[in-house]
Amino acid sequence: MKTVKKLLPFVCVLAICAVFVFSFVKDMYSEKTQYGFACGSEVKVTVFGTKNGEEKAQAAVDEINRMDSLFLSDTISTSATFKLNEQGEYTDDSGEFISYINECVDLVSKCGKMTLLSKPFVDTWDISGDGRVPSHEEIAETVKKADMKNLIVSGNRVTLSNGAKLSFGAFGKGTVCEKGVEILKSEGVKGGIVTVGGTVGVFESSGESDEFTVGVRDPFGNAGEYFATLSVSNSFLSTSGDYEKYFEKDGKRYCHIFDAKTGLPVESDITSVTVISNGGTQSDFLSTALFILGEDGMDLAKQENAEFIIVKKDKSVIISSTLQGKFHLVDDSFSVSFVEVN
Amino acid sequence: MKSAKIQKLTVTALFTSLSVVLSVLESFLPTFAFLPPGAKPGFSNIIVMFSAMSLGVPQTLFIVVAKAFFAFLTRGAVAGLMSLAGGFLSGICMLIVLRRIKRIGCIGAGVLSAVCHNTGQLIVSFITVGSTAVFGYAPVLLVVSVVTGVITGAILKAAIPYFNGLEKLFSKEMGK
Amino acid sequence: MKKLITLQDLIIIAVIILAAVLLLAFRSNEIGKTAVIRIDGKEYKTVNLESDEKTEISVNGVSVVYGCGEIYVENSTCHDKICVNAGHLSKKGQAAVCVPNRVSVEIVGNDKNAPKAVTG
Repeated sequence: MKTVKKLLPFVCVLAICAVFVFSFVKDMYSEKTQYGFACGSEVKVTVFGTKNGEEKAQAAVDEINRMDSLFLSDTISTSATFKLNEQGEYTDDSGEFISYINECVDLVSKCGKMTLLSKPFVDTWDISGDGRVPSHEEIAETVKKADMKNLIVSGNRVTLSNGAKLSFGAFGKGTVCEKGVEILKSEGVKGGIVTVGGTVGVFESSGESDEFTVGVRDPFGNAGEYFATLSVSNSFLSTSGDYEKYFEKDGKRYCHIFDAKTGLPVESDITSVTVISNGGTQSDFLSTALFILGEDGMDLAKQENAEFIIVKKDKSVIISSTLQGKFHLVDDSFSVSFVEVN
Repeated sequence: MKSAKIQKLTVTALFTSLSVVLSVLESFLPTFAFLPPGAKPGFSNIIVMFSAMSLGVPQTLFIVVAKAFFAFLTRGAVAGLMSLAGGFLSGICMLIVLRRIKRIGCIGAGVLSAVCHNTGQLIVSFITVGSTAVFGYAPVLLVVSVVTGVITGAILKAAIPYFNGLEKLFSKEMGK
Repeated sequence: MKKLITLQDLIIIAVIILAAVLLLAFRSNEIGKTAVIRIDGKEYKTVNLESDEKTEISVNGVSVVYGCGEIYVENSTCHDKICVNAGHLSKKGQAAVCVPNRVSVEIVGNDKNAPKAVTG
């Protein structure tokens, strides 16, 4: 009895220490988020269930920044894209840039109304600034510049002709998002979310059916507001919408997505398109492609094994039938219909 | 016999006023830097403890009720109710601990008294606010109870001789 | 005569501190994105803390400010100001309570259906 009494305080102290260790470990494994800025958008990397989560998330943010400043950005002077636009040609020794261009060229050819050389559109219409409506001659000029024939890849050399300028606006965010997810996976992270602008990549490798809930942006609301949620586990989601960047003139809204054939900002009854697919580059591309093609693009999505959510201006929503059960409407003012694509 | 009764009554009255005065003085104190929000040293608990020890059950409960009534008059119904619940719980706890359990010392009694006091207050705030959110304060209040309980327990131990002296003084006066 | 301190006293203190530490340890470290403001225990308003701007609302004499990932009681008509001193709350389970005004603010964290990310 006496020994028990003597031991009691020690037991208590030990127990307290154990609790401290437990809470410390628990905190170590809790959700961690790092922020960054790349491809003209906010980058947000969240990791779950891992040690040193901050470092691992930061590794993904760093890789995203590296990709942006080395290859993709058309505003950072160190990037391959910037140099190519300046000099009209670029020799890529590593082959990484060329193979990426080829991948994008391949995708663009599937749409028919898109171009990799979209920079003249954005610049001429001053979409990033106050915005202006150019003359017919100017528009015709930009259409010529945006023709994909102006981009020639031979071996490890890329050449631009006729004043064409490259821009990865419709691909870059998806690509770096995908890259970020790859980094997290290689760091041994069990689950994570990488957000770059409109593209969200989620993955979860523990095998548990713990699905993530991702909000689908409400095109009529503010940033961060959603009209529906999707349950996903290993996918990339991209949204393109006319609310992202636009200017208004004489009561008309001009958005930042252009039809490469007409050289005009896309005008349709569609206000936003969300695409869910297995690749970031692919989902980013498809969301833009479907925004331009409208309902005609549904076949393209089907070919690429991707799913879509098309929101029209009258708040009617067209959704891939395969998303049934994963899609949950939050805002009842939207009317939903599922379509099967053959 | 009669003089003993009168003596007890007088001491009870004196202690009641003492506990009220102490709680008033306490409310003048600025929030201690080392104490979290809402924590008070609880000096008036010393009085309750001593009366539980030497006066008796009805006297102790009377002091508790009087203190709560004073809180009700000066700080409103909610404060009164909180004081009453806390006081009752800690008072009953003191009566048991100080009269029946010999093995618990002054500091242990002070700590238990503080914990009971805070528990009573938490229960009342839970009922008035109606949200379990109040229990978020519980861990902090427990730690604070230990600190204040040790202080009040130590003060009680130091004050017992003087209180006893007071009683003797009374009985002398009465004896005359 | 009562002793100042006994072994039992030490055990009592140890148990209480252990209980406090346990309660603290099991408290979630998770960041909470929604908070519930209650009057008399009835939900008055549920607010999202994620907006970039701070919003101030007055609830029963308690002025509550929320936004930028946190919520706190800026001022209150009550006597003891415990709610104000509760400080800035950002983690799930944290709360500020004003008993005299019967107002409570509690971070309820992320309900299961709240999305982890939003596209666009």
